[in-house]
Amino acid sequence: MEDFLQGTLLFVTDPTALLVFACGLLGGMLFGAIPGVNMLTLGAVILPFTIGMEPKHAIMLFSVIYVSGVFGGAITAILFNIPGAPENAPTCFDGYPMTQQGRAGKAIGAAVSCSALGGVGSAILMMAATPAIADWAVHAFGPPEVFALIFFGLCVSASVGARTLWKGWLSVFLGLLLATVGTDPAGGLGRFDFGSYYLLAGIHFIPLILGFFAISEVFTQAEKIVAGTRERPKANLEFPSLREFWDLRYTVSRSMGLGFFAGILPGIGATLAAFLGYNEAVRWSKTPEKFGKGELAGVVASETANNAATGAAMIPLLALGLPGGALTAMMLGIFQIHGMEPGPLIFINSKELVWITFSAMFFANLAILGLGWIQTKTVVHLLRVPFRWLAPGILLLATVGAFALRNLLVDVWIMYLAGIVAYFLRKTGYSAAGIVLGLILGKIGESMFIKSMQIMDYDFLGFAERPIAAVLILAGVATMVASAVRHFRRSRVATGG
Amino acid sequence: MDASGKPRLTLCLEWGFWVVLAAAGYWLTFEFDEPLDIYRFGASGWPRFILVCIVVGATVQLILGLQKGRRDAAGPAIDSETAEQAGGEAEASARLPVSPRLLGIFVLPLAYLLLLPRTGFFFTTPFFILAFLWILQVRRPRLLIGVTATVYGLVLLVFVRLFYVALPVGNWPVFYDVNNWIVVAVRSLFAGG
Repeated sequence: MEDFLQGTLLFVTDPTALLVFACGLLGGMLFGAIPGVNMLTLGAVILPFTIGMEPKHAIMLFSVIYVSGVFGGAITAILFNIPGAPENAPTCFDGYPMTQQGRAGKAIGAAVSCSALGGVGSAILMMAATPAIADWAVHAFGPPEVFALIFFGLCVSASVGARTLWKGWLSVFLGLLLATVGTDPAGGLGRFDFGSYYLLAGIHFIPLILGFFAISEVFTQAEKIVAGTRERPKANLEFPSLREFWDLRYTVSRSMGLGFFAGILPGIGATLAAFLGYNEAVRWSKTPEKFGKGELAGVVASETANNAATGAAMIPLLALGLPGGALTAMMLGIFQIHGMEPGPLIFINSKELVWITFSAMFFANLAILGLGWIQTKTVVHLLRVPFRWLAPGILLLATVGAFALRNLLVDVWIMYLAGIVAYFLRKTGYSAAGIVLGLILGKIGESMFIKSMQIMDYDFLGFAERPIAAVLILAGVATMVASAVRHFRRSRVATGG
Repeated sequence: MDASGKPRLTLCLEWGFWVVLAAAGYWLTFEFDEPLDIYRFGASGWPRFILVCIVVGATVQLILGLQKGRRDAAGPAIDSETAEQAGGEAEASARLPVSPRLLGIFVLPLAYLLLLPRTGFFFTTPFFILAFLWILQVRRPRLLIGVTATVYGLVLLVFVRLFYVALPVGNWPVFYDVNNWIVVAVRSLFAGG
């Protein structure tokens, strides 16, 4: 507590720190909200300029961008089905249907409040338990445990968003298959690259996400406009009531815990956190069939979890020098630029840097609450603009976003083809969520499986000998069986069998 | 064709799609199935496992779908989920895009993509916006020009002036020059020079 107060005092009495904080907060929110140019773009652009900054200001700037950038992407996810970043993808599943039902204000209000709540909770936990938690998580979670966690996540996600259980599984398998395109993680051999130099690098998930969500949505809405069946969503500014938040208290706490936990694990980060939070909200819900159709709990779960991961991601970075994702890897770069080495000693040698960063992250989450409400009141009015005027803009934003990623037109082609495929898959009841999750987790999953096999000498029973891995795999199998039984029972009851 | 004919056909088509995809994928895995010293299952092990799962999943889906279809045809009680699925699929196949305008929604962006490396982003984009608005039944000239100018202007301001994104300038001689002229003009215009 004393350290936190000292950090806060240092932060509020330092004009440069306050300026850096404000720039990071607004920049992250803005870049998070523009599809294609996310917080990573901002981070990459400003990284060279951090050479001239004090290390504490540079690290603080990136941590504030991380917090506000993860939140910023929720706005476009809810209003236009365009996730600003992959960690906002699950927010689309229920956020966008809520917009179509005229409940955009409620969805964004929930996203604002829960992002702030998840982030504040995570920041407090981060301050309280960084060294201890980092030590436990990094030692207890080796490749077999991470693989088991991914297996569990995939089992749950197969039951989300698709019309039937098998369509859910086929969607996940398609995502996993797409993730195998490119160089294999074991021997570096090219797979499904058709001799193309570009495909050797694999299919990047950002063009696919833009295609699955933004492009397919433009096609769907355009079809309705042409057919004359589209109804304009109401720009409603009704925010969630305290009662609604109270009803979702378990979802919020669960997502906060899951997000924090996923954030600690190196290489997992906010994306898996958001999906895990969403999946668990579905699994524990008494009305899972409502998810994907405009359920407030879906938005709450995803947004709480992804922001909870931001604070947690700082733990392995600061305590062990292990970055959890791209932005934290850039922070590691800042440490190296300034000739510093993160690790347990940083809490002794650079106490000021650690606590000014922690304080800034805490206040950034609080600021989201205030700025987010203002942003909500203004951005929701975009819904009053006829979709036919917005559609070309959305297509262009997505086109530039996909192209700017690697300056490759092949990414734009992939995005449009994914959009067309997703349009038909949606019509036949497959799940975009399952495909995207399969794609994102497929690469990490295969890599972790290879390492697990090498560690366990190709003995599959080795998973059973590791308690955490065994529990996660059993939980995954139990989820699979429970979904199948629920599916079968519903069928029998309906047919009177 | 009986009442369940359409969903049955859809189920078979879906199964066919997945099996053809899996078979083609499996055949392609032979291009990278050489043994690896450091990993026993090789580069093809993981993709092959997924492809087998796809075939199993698609086959189970087909069998369960056909069984449900038969049950529904035999008895008056209808499984709500199957009915929804069958209805959804029948509706979906009935609503396949057939009109030229709907086809245009898909074809126009692809044509735009084909042209981008040749005629450049800056020259092609205003025409693409205009054409897309036209397909979406915007007919008033003032609106067509106003929306095109606003969207194009905002994209240029944000991505060309602020973020300096290197967008394609085309490789056909005249278009290359026109695109570069637009980039220079935008940067000097928004810079106030």
